[in-house]
Amino acid sequence: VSTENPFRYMWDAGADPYRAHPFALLGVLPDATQATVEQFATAREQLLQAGEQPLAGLTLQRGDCLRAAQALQDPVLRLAFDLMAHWHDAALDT
Amino acid sequence: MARPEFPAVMNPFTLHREAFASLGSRDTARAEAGFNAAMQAFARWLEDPASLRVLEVRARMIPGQAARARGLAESLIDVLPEWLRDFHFEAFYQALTTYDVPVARMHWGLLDSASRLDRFRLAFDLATMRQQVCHRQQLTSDIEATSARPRRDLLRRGERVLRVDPANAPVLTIIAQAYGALLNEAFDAASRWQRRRNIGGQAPRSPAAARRSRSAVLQAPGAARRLRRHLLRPGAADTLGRDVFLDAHEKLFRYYLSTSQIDDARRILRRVRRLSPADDGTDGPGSGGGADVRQWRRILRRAARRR
Repeated sequence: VSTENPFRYMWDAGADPYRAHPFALLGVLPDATQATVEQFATAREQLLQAGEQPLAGLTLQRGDCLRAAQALQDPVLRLAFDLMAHWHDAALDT
Repeated sequence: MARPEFPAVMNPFTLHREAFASLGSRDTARAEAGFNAAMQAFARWLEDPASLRVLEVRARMIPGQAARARGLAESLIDVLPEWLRDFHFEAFYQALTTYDVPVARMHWGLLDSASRLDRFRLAFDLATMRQQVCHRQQLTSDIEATSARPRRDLLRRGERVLRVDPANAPVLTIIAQAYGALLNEAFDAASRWQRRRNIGGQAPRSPAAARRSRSAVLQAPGAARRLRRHLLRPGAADTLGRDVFLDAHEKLFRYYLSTSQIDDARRILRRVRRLSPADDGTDGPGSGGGADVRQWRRILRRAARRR
């Protein structure tokens, strides 16, 4: 298991980890392959290098998108990010 | 491939998400309630066998991990309490070092209440976290070897920790000992000055030692006030342990006597008698067994007569 803590992801940069998780940073779906993840990360990283910010309301630094792709390589961490990113879509019964 | 949906059950992640949003908008009270609800929901969710199945279904979606899905789900269930603890502990510590006491209190309160939940008891070990705070804040018990300025800094750091977690026994012990040492020094310095004035001229002391004495005398009233406040806190005797608790009272008692605050000294004596009635005259001060209340009373009577 990765030493990265999903609840502290981007926390030091002042971001809410439930908003600034790797799926949001990269704009990939939960079943995306690692090749797709890396492709998206490279594309977003190029945007950052060109001085653009791919996400509204969040200032990303160079390397953030590559770090996000790396985080999704760890399957347990990826599972946690999936829960954080997508579970709120389901309705609450109780 | 159709994506499996999460079942519509009480969802700890949704509660957690809302708590984070409240924290982001600086609504500490709402964030605290949200984190508390999320923590309890996480505890229930981690104990529910259905959670493992949900996670397994979800883990199968990760490309290339279908065969390991159950193992991944189990790993997540194992590591989640540590992630939660680590997040709240680091957030507490960050708030502590940036003097954000309400947020630090909120995170510490969450760690404290989580430690009482069965599912989190092992992961949320408050004693270990308190030791870690001591270590990171460099709060050591080597008070005697500490010179005036570092000791002042140490006291400031310790007081800050106690504002957030008054039941931190290692820090409270260090602080009580530091104030006690400071009061002793002030008492010694005052006696030395008195002696010097009486017999006229002794060998001059080193400038560093003189500075330290002067600093102790200047800080003594504040130290006495703070030490007393800590000792009066409910549960201070249990937190500090009997020996440290009585030793701190003795130092305070001597300080009040040396500054002719007889009424305050009398109050301390009364409190010590109430706290350890069995010790009345059975042990000597500094023996490690308790306070020699009879001797304290004799000293107090002499001081009152002199006044």
